Amino acid sequence: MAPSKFALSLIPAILAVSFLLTEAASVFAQEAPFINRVAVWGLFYQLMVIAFTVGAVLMGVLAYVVFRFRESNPKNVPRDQMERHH
Amino acid sequence: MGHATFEWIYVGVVIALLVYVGAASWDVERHLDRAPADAEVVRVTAQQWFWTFEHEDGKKEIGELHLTKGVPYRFEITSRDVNHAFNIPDLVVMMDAVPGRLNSMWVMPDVSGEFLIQCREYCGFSHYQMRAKLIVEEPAEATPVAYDDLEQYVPASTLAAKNSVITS
Repeated sequence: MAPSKFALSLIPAILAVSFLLTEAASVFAQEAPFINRVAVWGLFYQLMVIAFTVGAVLMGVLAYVVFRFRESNPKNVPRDQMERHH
Repeated sequence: MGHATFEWIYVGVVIALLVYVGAASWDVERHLDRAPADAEVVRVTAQQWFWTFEHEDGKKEIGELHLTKGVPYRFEITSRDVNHAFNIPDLVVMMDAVPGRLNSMWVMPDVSGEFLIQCREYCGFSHYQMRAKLIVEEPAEATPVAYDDLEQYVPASTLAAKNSVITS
């Protein structure tokens, strides 16, 4: 199925916002001294939060798909005549 | 909205997060790569199985490194024999020490106290003993000390092993 114009327009918008947020963060951060320990551990925690959030969403989607499209689900009826014969 | 819309939103969000991750990592790397212009240079020399530190003013330390809190330092790290790795876990510093090569890394200690310096690359029999002490002092009490007598700070067994390996 082709994506709608609305959906397609979201991607550059999200990319632009994330770039701007990153740039803004680095500009405001220039005033404070750079401490390796703080910066590296901060980055690590950020990446962990992102990784586990994306992982949790992905696992949730997989669980939903498995549950929704299981054979025993009453909603999961064959859609055409041919499928019933298999 | 159909399923496709949600899928594209999900794809967009994940791409945005990946871009953010890349940009944030790049930003930290950029800072790590550029030492401040006023950073004091400390030459770090690794050899089986101890560390030697040489300050800008020529003072040398063996087995101990005295730094001052709040002062940026740039380490010039090299090795005299085999590959080592200069590691200060508490300050998130780690850089390979490679013979014939000068690797650089900088740090500004923001806490005072005593910290472990260790070798993080397996370098031979006494690798596990290749440790040193980092002493970060408050600016008022900072008094770098020069240690010239190796025997006082390095175990005799290490010295004997060193003398049998190092010819230069």
